[in-house]
Amino acid sequence: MLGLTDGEGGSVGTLVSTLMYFSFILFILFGQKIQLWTMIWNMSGALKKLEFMKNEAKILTVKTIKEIGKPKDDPAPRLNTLLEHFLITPVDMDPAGIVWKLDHLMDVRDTKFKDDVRKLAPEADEAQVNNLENLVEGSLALNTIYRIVRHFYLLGRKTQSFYLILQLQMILPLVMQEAEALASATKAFAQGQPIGDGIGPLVASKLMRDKEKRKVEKDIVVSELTLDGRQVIALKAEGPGGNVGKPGDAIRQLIQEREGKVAMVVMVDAAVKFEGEKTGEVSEGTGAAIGGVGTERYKIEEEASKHKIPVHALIVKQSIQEAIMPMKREIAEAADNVISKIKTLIQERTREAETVIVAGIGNTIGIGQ
Amino acid sequence: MTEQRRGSLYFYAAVFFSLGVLAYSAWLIISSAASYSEGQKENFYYSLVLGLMGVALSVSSLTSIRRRIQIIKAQSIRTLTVEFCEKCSFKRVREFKVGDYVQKNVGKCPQCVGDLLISMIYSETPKD
Ligand SMILES: [Zn+2]
Repeated sequence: MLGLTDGEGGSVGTLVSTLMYFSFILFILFGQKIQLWTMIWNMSGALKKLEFMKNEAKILTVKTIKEIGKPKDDPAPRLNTLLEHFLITPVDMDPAGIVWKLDHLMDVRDTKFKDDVRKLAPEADEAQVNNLENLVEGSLALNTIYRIVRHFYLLGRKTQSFYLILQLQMILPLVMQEAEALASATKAFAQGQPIGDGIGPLVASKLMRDKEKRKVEKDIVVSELTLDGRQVIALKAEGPGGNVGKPGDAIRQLIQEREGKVAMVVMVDAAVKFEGEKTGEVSEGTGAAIGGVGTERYKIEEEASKHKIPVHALIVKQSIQEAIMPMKREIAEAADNVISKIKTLIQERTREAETVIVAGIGNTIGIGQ
Repeated sequence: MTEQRRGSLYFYAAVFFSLGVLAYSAWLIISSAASYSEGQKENFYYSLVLGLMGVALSVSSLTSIRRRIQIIKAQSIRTLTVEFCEKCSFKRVREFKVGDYVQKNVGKCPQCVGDLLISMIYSETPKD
């Protein structure tokens, strides 16, 4: 009907069908190769984006250091060394005592970072040094992601290994999400804005308002107040500089000061929600709600089980991205909800005149006390 | 500011170009129908294939522009600072400034003699 075989149209028709057969055979023989090329092509796009984000973060870091710290010479070379910093975790073949080794290692790293940042920015005050340290950490994380992705991309391209590329391709969307969150986190750190992870300190700071504060180990502030007749000890990392402190040490010290006479420990923290769950929802649980490498959680669990103190957790749900991005309204507004849950918990599970520790866990950037 | 303007200029150019291609492709497809009825087989195939390719390309470029706009919109978050007086519940919301932090004393309350403290700092994505 279309007249594919007669006249001028015939040669075009034959050409089209020949091309169809040819491409069909091409896909059967080289399908995987073509898929590999498209994957490599996609990945090089992602890698360019990562490189851009990493460079932007570094430019922002240098700019902020220059603005706040007013260094005499160019901070870039020292910053470059800091951005390649790595941590060698202790041997875990014989795991006994590994927590203290790791704890020591993290202390050394923390001190080294703060000292270096102080040298980079001599005019910055303590809170600004902490913010800058967070900013450098964010830059370092982006730099590390970029280097790892580039490594697998180049390796995959060099070896033309389908499965090597496939592995990277599978996790790439998650890696990109993480990188985008880090990129927006660096902006929050540079300006000293609270991040989603700061909900714990926000709750503690609301409890501590107008109360006398004292400092305990390490970078933690403590206030005592009465809530429904119970003696409540609220604690958080010292703000408003970016800091998580060492709440494990602080809680241990507080329990030891009272010779174990603590009726309950309530920990407030941000926790990762599942996709589809609502940001800012508050959940109750049992156990020490604290992230990180696990050393702080170990200390709290150790001390609590020694004195048979129940540990309760109140968590505010958010995505991994929201935890390091500027704090969303839903999260900030969850603070009052958390406080009312703390009150119920205290009323139901303790008697009057007993002591309760309420620990606000998380990064206190942009949140004072 | 100039960079932003250049960015939006580029964006309008891209949209305009894609729409142009779309219009031309549509015209090609319509004219291919005309050449089919006139019996010009070669012209018919040529315009039809070219027209369909043009439609596909411009539609895909328009959707990718739309996706990019959505990403940019999601990135343009605004941070707000809430100042609150405990005594009389006076509340004031303003744009975040560097140096603000929660519990910072920002002076006296304009309604009473109480202290005005920053009670919240949060970010909001602009609604569309
Ligand atoms: Zn007032």
